[in-house]
Amino acid sequence: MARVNAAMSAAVLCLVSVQLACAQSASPYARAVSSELSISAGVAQSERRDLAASPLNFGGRGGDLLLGYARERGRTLLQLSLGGGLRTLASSTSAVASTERLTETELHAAALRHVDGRAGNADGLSIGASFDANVTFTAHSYRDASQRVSEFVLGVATLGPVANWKRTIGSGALSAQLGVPIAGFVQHSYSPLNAQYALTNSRLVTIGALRGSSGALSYASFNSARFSPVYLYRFAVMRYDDVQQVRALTQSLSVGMVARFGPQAQ
Amino acid sequence: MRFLRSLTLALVLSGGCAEAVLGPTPAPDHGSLFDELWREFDLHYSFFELKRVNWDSLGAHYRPLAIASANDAAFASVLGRMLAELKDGHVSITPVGVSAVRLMSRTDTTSAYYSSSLVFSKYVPVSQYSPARHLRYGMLSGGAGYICIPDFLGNDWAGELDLAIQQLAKATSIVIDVRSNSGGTYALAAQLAGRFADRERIFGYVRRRSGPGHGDFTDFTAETVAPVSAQRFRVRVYVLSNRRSFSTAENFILAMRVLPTVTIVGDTSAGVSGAPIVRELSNGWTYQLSEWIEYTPDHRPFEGIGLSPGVYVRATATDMLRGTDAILERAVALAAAKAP
Repeated sequence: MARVNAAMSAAVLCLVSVQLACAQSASPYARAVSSELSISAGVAQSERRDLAASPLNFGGRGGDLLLGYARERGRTLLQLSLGGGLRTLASSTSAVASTERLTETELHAAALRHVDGRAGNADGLSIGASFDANVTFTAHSYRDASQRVSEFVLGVATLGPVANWKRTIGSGALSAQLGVPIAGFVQHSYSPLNAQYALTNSRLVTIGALRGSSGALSYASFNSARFSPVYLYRFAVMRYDDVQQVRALTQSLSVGMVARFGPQAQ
Repeated sequence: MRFLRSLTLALVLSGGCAEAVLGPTPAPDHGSLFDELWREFDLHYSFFELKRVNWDSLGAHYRPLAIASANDAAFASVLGRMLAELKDGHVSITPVGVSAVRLMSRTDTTSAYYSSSLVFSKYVPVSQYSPARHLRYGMLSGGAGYICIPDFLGNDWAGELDLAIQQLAKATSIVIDVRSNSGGTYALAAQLAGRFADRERIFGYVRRRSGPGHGDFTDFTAETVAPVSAQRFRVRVYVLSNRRSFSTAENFILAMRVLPTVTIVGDTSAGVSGAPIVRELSNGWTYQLSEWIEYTPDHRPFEGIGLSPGVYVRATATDMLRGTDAILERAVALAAAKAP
């Protein structure tokens, strides 16, 4: 019960943060409105151990795609992105030939506010709250005589603080972002998903059971142009403690294009 | 581009920190592997309470033996002996490069005195296979049709039963033989039984392990059989079973016996009902274990007991020596008595 209360409190805190950030957009500072759309594709590296599927560590690479939308109004920055990827993982133990095929989808929404009082597409630090949801389907191929494949799912939705730092470098702009979940909801397979009457366990969690962080480092070559190439590095690390633990580290490198609308930064 | 190269290098280098995040790869020594197997059964196996198995005690007894094993073959043998204590036909372990170590139960070693060769040479001399050879069928004397289902392996072949019954259109009743059927794909049981269903009926219940406690289970989930196509076969059906009708064959018997036009004839089924899942050890060995308990419609588990037939007939060695299939002959007699 205490865990549920803590999760509820955290959720309320995050919602209040978002409300405050949005309220600021109507302040006298709010003048310029700009938005940008981005698309990027690249390669992702996943390392994971999901004890629902196997006691072994698995690692491998695959494709990664991310669609993003950001809107900046006055001192408020809103972000929304949708991504996904497919990866093929192999056991880290050479003696074991089993493999995993991951299908991952993610949703990120955040509201941030410039903390140094500057408005518009300016350098500086922003902080706010983010909502992240991630669903991973794992098809685990066992190398037994009948070559069976068992499917598992891990769904995680979290709320937590997020910080973004931006700095103009030459004609481009470097941006770094870091988020940490403090509460959330997890749905994890207890038994294979493709078994009859399969079961997934759901629970509300706090930072005691779900620890991790996610972040991104991006560089847009032309900060003031309508269109600019963008280079993106992202990572997400997760440690979920339950009867069947999950540990995961995902990193990706992507190249894409960003299109901007509205007045640009000075 | 220099920036991108730096990021690529960072990605490659950070691969080395994966172990810090995931933890070390589990140790492959016999003690660690034993603990892994013991714990997975502790978390997932469904019959500890029903079979009154003290898993802690078995672990304490077999762990020193496992650690003292001189080699992998001896280690596999110890694990096999411990798992045999569960007396579960769905439990097995498959060491890499060695055939599966599995429980040898009474149903594995007891002869059912059944011979498909005898059936097709004496009782169904003219027979044919369904297109994918999942069924073999023909006519019995007296006007009954006969369909043999040797196993339920594979997927999506229930339509072959429609074809077989169409070929047996002149039959006044149908005998479906699942004796010594080793089981297979669970879904096929209800799909095949649905060919004879008049309406949706509950034929059993299942409860799946849902947590670390040996008594942690989901609620009862109903298993149902329902008409699966516009075509419904209304003839009288006799399903033949014996002590070697395993697993999905028992699901089929369970589904058929709730239908008003069906009579089960023969011996009690094997009582192997656990719906196995497969797992792996960190040395690559795979194993399977039962993860649910299946119940009859009146909520009685039949694991280790079997499903009793409506008409009990026990085949004997004497029958075999005489070249007689007593179970089939009884079904034919019942069909003749009910024939219009």
